[in-house]
Amino acid sequence: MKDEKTRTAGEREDMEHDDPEIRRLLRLWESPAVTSELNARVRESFRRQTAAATYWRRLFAISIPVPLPVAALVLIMLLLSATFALRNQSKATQDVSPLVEARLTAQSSAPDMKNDAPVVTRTSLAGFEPVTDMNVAVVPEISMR
Amino acid sequence: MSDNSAEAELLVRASRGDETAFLVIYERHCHSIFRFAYRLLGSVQLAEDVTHDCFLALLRRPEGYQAERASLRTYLCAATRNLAFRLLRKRGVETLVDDVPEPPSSNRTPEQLRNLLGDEIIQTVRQAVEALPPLQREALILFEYEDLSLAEIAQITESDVGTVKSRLHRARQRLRRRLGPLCARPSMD
Repeated sequence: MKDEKTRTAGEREDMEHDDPEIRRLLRLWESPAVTSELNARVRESFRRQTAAATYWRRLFAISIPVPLPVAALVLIMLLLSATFALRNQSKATQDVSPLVEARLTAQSSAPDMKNDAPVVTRTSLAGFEPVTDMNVAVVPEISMR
Repeated sequence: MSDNSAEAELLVRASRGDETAFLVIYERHCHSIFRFAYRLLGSVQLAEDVTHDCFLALLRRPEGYQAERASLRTYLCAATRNLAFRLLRKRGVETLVDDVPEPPSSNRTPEQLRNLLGDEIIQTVRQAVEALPPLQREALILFEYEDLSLAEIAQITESDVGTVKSRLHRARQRLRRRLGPLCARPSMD
């Protein structure tokens, strides 16, 4: 413990209320020493704590060196793939069979037969020319659903 | 301030996993931190727990220590104090009270106190210190046992120098009332 002479001015001011006899008694009560078990426990906790922190730090700081030409090639391939994918997607929406298209058109323009009055159709054979060579082709009905 | 900066540098290295830097800090301060915790809590086991938690908390948050404001020892003592008071509050001890009614003095007469043997005197002193209100006890421990200045104690206890002096004075008065008969004995040396 400090000698009284080494105390600061503020402390010497406090020494006015000092009690040397009480201090003498207080000094009889010594503290036990720090145990080796505590030292080992603190050291172990330090290693565990810093290992966890180091692991996450390493994980997020990991870097993979890639040569610039390889990186450029990969980037170009990615861009081309994306371009082709987008193009195929838009082409798929336009690519409709003529038969399906005709059916769609017919369906959209067909009158509603349920509620309308009976339809009268007048036909004329003027200008009719028979087909010389008839080829019959059976077209399976395409489900529009 | 250069000592504080050097310790701040060690602390930064320790927080990044430098075990050597950490052990330098630990060896330098563990004894005073443990002594303070032991006298504040009165238990070796609790003091060890608080010492362990104090240093681990320092590593988890090294930016909490600011070298320009205080020494690392002052900072660690403040952390120890907070941990110890948290433990005391868990056990139902009111820590923020500056003064409490004195418990009945020991069953021993002054004559009996004067006849105590060495170990019994030490126990009596220990009980007298532990009977002090926490705020008076911490001021007394930091001044008498840890040789800290009044300004440092004020920083640790988040008070001012005048308050620290007042607590020291009242602590000594209580001890004088309790240990007075022992003071009349010849020196044990």
